[in-house]
This record gives sequence, structure tokens and C-alpha cells, in this order.
Amino acid sequence: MILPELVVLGVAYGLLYGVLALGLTLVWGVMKVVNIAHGDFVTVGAYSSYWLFTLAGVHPILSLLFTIPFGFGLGLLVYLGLVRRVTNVPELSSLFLTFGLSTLISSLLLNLYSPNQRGVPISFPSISGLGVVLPGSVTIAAAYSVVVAVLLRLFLRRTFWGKAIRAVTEDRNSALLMGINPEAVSLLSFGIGVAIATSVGSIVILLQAVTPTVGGDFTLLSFVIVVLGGLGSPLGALVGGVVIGVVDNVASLYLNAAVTPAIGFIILIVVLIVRPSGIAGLKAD
Amino acid sequence: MKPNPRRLAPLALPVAGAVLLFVAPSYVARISVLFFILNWIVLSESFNMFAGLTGYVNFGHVVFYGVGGYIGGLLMKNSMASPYPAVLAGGLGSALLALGMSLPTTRLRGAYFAIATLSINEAVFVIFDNWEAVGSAPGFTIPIADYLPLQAYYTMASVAALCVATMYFMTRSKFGVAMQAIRQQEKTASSIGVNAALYKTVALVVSGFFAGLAGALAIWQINFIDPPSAFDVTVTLNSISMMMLGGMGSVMGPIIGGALLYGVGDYLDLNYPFLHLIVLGLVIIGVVMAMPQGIVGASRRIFQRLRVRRGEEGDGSNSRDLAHP
Repeated sequence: MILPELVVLGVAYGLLYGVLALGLTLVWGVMKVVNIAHGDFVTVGAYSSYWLFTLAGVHPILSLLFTIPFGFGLGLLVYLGLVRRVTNVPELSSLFLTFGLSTLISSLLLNLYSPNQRGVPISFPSISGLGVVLPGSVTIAAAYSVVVAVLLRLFLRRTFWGKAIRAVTEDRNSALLMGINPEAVSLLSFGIGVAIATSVGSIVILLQAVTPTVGGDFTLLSFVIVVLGGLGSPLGALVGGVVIGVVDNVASLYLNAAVTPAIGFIILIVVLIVRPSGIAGLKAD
Repeated sequence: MKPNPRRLAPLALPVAGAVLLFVAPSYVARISVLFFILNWIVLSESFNMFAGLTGYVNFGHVVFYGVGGYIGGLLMKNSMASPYPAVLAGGLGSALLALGMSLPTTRLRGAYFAIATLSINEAVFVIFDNWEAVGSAPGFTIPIADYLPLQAYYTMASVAALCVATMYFMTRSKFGVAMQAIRQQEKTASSIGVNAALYKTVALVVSGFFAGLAGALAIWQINFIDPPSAFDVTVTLNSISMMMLGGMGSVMGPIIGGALLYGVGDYLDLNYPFLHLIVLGLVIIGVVMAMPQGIVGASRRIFQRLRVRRGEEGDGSNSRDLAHP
């Protein structure tokens, strides 16, 4: 019974990918900036947790208490220092800026910590039920993703600032007329976006070893998911994440492992051609 | 008819450039350095042909370079014929690929286009990494028996000159005006009869052609190709930073940016391997934040200010430049 196991594994990974993509889609929705450095903030989070574990023995899950506020603060700084200047100019500038930022982060990490792989030697007991065995670390990843997704939904639906984010996503000018400060909303959502990325990094270090340049893979993965679900749609991001997770894992059963990374991109290209608003069709812009 | 010196003045720069390219090998010990400066100028200028003119970012630019390299390399390896047709085939192959790529992608706007091209890069890499017939992951080498550095250099120089000239004529023609319209208001341009998809396709095909030539020329010089080097995002990164630093959309931009950044990069790469990338990242961020028009735009503004101060305003010399409205 390997197929059901792969499907469950795919859903679990997919939820984590989906949450990561949530951060990207939130930022896109509010300020129409595609953050190409998104995946590199995952690397920053993963390295933070790695060092906290290696130097101080802090468990990666506990290190979330650091990586979440750290990511949020980092996001605020990056927004105020750089991104703020490219939100109301042609898209080209923000694409270039975040591309440069991505290069800067990964190369700084390369210089500081060498290209070696880093991982934490922690293992968790596997969870089994209904004839399916799921590695403990993957279960934690899935649980964390569900918590973040639920909290984010509550935040977006129930709080003033959450509603403000949705309002600005829907129509920036109308939101402005209703007395919402789009600048503050952009600042907040960029902070949240980066905090999601760095916290996902803390979880990623439980699942795999990382290198300074792994961020590009996460960025691409988030892109694929976000486009699948429709740019700007939080629910679409989760759906897209699960789709990619399942397809990725099930495909590994039938295809050469080296080829599987291309599947996501082929799906992406096909979706872009056939249905640019995403399969979920929950287009927000 | 007596030649008017004012009309001949614009010819001075290209002529000086051609002479410089021709005599340079006599004065520089490492011809390969000259070769790679020109190779980067072609890569950056061909990126500029699409991004600078249409305002779309092709994050998969290196795909043209890599595919051109593979086609050229395979021909040089298997036929042992003269490298010239192999280089040309590399360029034409990439132009064809660009045509294929443009069919789905020219309909995509802004960020969607950028994301699609980034994924095409990734997909093409995986394909070549697993393709046994073209050497898969280990890549292949080509025999260097009859390789002459000067021959490769002069071919590279001719391609570079042709590439810059093409960009010059693209910006200063009806084509350039249409491009400007697309860049500023694509929907409006389409509504008044500018075939945006067609113009974007032409720009992408020409851009792909030159990047493919650069790739095939590079393998002639390096004698080796493998997927990680042929489809390295860093090549796109370099092309972008060179264009940004020099001045996006301007003909001279990639020449200035390419020469400067290759010089700095070559030095840094030798002495501090990973520092190079930090510099590129900083250059891109710095240019976007501080001088979006690059060195060309910044110096143009300085000259303009000087001219205004001297009271020579309005000689009309800037109205001709379509790349900088």
C-alpha cells in the first residue's frame, strides 16, 4: 500500500508549501509585488534555527518563538528600506529589486557559512493509522501549517487589520477612501509574509538539510503554487500547495527521481497558457 | 556635396569602437578576457533588446544561451567542421526556441511572464540534465585541436558589433516607437492597432538569436558544456545587473555595464569567490533604488543640467532617444 502513503505524504508536504505560498500571495495581493526573495527568507529561517540548535541546543520547534518575530521585524525593515520605494512604479522595478535581494541574501549566507549542507540530527517517532505510516517530522510540518492557516484566516476575517488587508487587496483606492492607510497595510502584510517564510524555514530544517542557495527552489515552488491557485488568493494557495505536494510525491512512484522537479513547472506552464487566473479561479485582482 | 561634419559626428563612436575591437588583442595579454567581456556585452544587450524595449523581464534568458551552446557544441563535436556554421546554428536554434516560447508567453502580463520564464529555465535544465543523447548531467567536451584564440575573438567581436548595431536600429525605427507604446500602455497600444504580441515575439526572437550566438561562441572558447553551467540563473543575473548598471533600454548601457561588471567580477572571482554575487546583488538593488536609468541615464541628466546652466537648452538631441522618454 504505497500509493495511499504517498498521497498522505503529499498532502502533508503540500500544506507546508501552501502556507509558504500564502506569504507570497498575501504580499502580491496587497502591493502587487512578486517577492522573488521569498524563498531566501525560508533559508534565513532555516539557518537561524540551525544555529540556535547547534550553538544553544534550542529545539527547532521552540526556535519558532524566535524566527517568527525575527522574520516579522526583518520584513518590516526590508519593506521600509527597499520595497516601499517600488510599490507604485512599473512591476519591472520590484521584480529586479527582489531578484537582487534574493541574490544578496543567498550570497551573504554563502560567504558566512560556506556552501555545505546543514541539517539538524533530530528524529521523531512516526505516526501510523489506517495502514499509513507518516514520518514524525512531516506530521509536525502538516500540523504547523494547519495552525498557521487557521490563525491567518481568523486574522483576515475577524480583526480590523486583517479586514484592512483584504480591503486593500480588493481595491486599494477604495480602501484609501474608507480611511485605511494602504502604506501601513503593505508594511504589515510584508512583515507577515516574511515571518511566514522564516517560520517555514524552521520547519524545513526538520525535514531536510539546507544550503545557502536552496531559497530559489522554494521561491519557484511558491510561484507554481500561487499561480495554480490564482495570484492573490489565500485559499487557492493552500489548494495549489496540496495539488503540487500530491502530484510531486505520487509522480516519484512512476518517474525517475531526477525528472520529478520538472513536473511542477510543466503544470505551471500549462496552467499559465490555459487558465492564467489559476485552477481555483479565485482571482483576487 | 561637401560632407557636413555635424552629420558625420554620430559615426565617430562606432568607428572608434570597431578600431578598438580590432586592435585590442595586440595590447591585451589575455585575449580570453576580451572575449568574455564581449560575450557578456552580447548577453546583456540581447536581454536589453527584450526587457529594455518591452518592459517584460525574461528570467529565462540563460535558456537561449544554454541551448545555443548545446547546438553549437554538438555540431562542433560531431561534425568536426568549421565552427562558423556551428555558431550560426546555435543562434538560429535559440531564435527558433524563442519563437516557440513566445507563443504561450507573450499573452502573459508582467509578473506572470516573469514567473513563466523562470519556470521554463528550470524545466529546460531538468530536461538537459536527463537527456542521455546530449551527455546528460556530466556534459561533454569538444576537441580543441584546431582552436585559434584570435579566430574566436574576431568572431565574437563581429557578433558583438552586429548585436549592438541591431539594438541601435531597433530603438531608432518604427519598431522602437511601437515598443515604447507597448511598454507604456500595452492595452492602449493594442487598441490603436499596434500588434503587441507580434512585436514582443520579434523582440524575443532577436534577443534569443544573439544570446544563442553568445552561447555557441562561449563553448567554442571554453570547449566544455554541462547543464549546471549552461542553464545557470547566474548568467541571467549577470545580464540583468550589467544592463541595469549601464542603463536599461539604452544602446550603450550593456556595453558600459558589461565591461565594468565583468572587470570587477573577474577580479573578485579570482580573489574572493563568493563575494562576486554579493556585489551583483548590491548593484541591482542600488541601481533600482538610486538611479533607475543606470549610468547612461544619470550622466545624461548631468549633461542636460550643465547644458541648461550654459543656456543651450533645447537642441532637440534628446527627443530622438526613444528608450528614454
